[in-house]
Amino acid sequence: MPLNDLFQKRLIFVSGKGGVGKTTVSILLALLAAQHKKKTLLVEMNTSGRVAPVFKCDSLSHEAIALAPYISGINLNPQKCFEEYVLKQIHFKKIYDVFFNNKYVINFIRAVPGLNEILMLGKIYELEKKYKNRALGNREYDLIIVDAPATGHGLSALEVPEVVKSAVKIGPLHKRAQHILDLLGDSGKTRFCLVTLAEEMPVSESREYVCALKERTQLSFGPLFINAVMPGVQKITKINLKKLGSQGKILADYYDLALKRSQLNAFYIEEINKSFSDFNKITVPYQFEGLKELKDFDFIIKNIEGALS
Amino acid sequence: MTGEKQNIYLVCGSGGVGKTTVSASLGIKYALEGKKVIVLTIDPAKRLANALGLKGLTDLPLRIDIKGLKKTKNAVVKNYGASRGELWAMMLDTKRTFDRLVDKYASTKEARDRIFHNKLYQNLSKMMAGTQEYMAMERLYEIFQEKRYDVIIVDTPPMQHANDFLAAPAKMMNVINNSMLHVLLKPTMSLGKTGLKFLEKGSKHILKIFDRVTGFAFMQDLSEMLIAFQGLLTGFQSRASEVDALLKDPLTKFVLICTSTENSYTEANVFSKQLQERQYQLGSIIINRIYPNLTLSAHKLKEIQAGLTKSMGADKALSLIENYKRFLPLIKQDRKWIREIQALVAKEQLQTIPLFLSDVHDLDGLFMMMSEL
Repeated sequence: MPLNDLFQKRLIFVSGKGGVGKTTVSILLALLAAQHKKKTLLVEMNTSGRVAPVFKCDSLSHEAIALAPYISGINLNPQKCFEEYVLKQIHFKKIYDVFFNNKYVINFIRAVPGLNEILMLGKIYELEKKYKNRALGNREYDLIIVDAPATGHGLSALEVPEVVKSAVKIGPLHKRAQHILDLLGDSGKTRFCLVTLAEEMPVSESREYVCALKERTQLSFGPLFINAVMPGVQKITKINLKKLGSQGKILADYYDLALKRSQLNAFYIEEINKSFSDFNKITVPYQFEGLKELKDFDFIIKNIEGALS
Repeated sequence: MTGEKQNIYLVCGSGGVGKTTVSASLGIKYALEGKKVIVLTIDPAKRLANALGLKGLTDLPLRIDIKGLKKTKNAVVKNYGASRGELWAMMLDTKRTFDRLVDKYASTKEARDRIFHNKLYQNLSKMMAGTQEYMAMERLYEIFQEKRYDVIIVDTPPMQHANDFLAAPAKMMNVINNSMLHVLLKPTMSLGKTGLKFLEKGSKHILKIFDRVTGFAFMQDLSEMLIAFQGLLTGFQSRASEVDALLKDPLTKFVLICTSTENSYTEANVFSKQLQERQYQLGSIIINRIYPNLTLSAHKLKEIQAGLTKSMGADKALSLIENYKRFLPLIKQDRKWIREIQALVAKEQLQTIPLFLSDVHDLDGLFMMMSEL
């Protein structure tokens, strides 16, 4: 049972090509994990935040807030991550304020390539280690789900620690990168879930991305999510268009559309099965009503396939 | 004359809306109209790249043979044989563009080599804030100056929001310009062998603390890289204002690709305002993947169902009706957001592209899409 396994982990990264539904799948996973009574933290990595509106909350900030029973949410702010990181090293807020909290240093920090990524991953590392009650061994969160940045196009955020580690030979940043790498590569704790659509471009991009990640990182993959799959339609043989009239014709067009889209999806699901034979696949149905609020997710939760088999 | 008047289209939009396909379709459209066109794209998916004849990553222009279109019966394509239209495409290679810039603006050969050999530069320069966007602009400017084309189409880097693209180059300049780099380097800069010799007094303390937070070697690499950039600043700055002037030119137009959602509306709203503020021109807003327009009331549907039942039997009629009903929320959503987005711009500035039954990932698909533009 792919999801039961997945929810035994501590950290899930959800990623994929732009527009495939990373946020949808992240929210879906959080809702399912909550059903398993896992204290779940949904993490956005410095985005404008599409998570909060679904839960009817104000946008997420750098401080975690409760979104629903068992679910909290946070939107990482690199600047704040930096402050926390520095304070951990030097322990004096005053020194931080004097030396770091001014536009010259802030802009300087922005100029350091990859720093945002390593800082945010570092924060996720801290969140994973966080205890609610250390003596009792109670973790603050059972499961952390990260709505990660889109894949493709240059270096991805998850490859940064490796580069930093090799670029910085000694010192705290090196150590930091190593810690993050250890967590990312820990197959007992971390899974990387890719989201795709059953269409040509997302599938081929996912294929390339998986190859690159396998080559360049130690990540273990969780189930592959095939999002927005159009349900099949009942076969209607021979529609006599002549008899339909103009509006009837448009209905026939819509029938054709549903049929062709579902056939297209079916074709690429086959492709996915071939290309990703070593992956568990979870199919998420198309939600005609849109995904604006929690109740819209009920339909998906009822109809996902592959999650429980 | 080719290159005398070059029309530039910057195609913007958030991830997954179809920027690359629309850019390529626009390219075909203008080429079939007899123009010499180049599409500057960013890492398109493999099959599209193959369809366009772009094999492997290269940032040199390649000619694309659009006579290969299967639909050669189409009159437009037939005429194409006689016209002088050409379609070219190239990929943006951020690193190589960056390298060329460094090469051009580095004050000395040593300065240049220092940058090229810097570990951080080698590995991470493309992750510096705004780099990709800046390099896209830079490449556009280079192509513009070559004056070889009539139309230049830029498929902008994927971002969360179209607006990020507009802000990115300024952000990069700001980062370099307005940082403690100046405070640190300017007064006492000397080019000693150790990358850190330039540090005196006040800045020494700051860097000491930085050392504690990061690690010695890192600071050395970083300061080296940033010192080297310091030398490039003047070049970058004059370049930036030239690029800005080009973007303000009446022949340069921005095209926003979006879908019919609330997010798109918000984006279109902000985007058009920001263009105005920057004195850039909006060419058009293109709403992609629109469902066929038919909204029927429950009453009307019953009527049609009755009619269909007569002509094709109750079962089939019901299937058609039920299927259509599933799409109703989407059709209504389309209509609502098309209306809202239309209110933001002039009538002729809004275009829609229907949702196609098949995937658009090859020349035929692009041709089909082009016919809608």
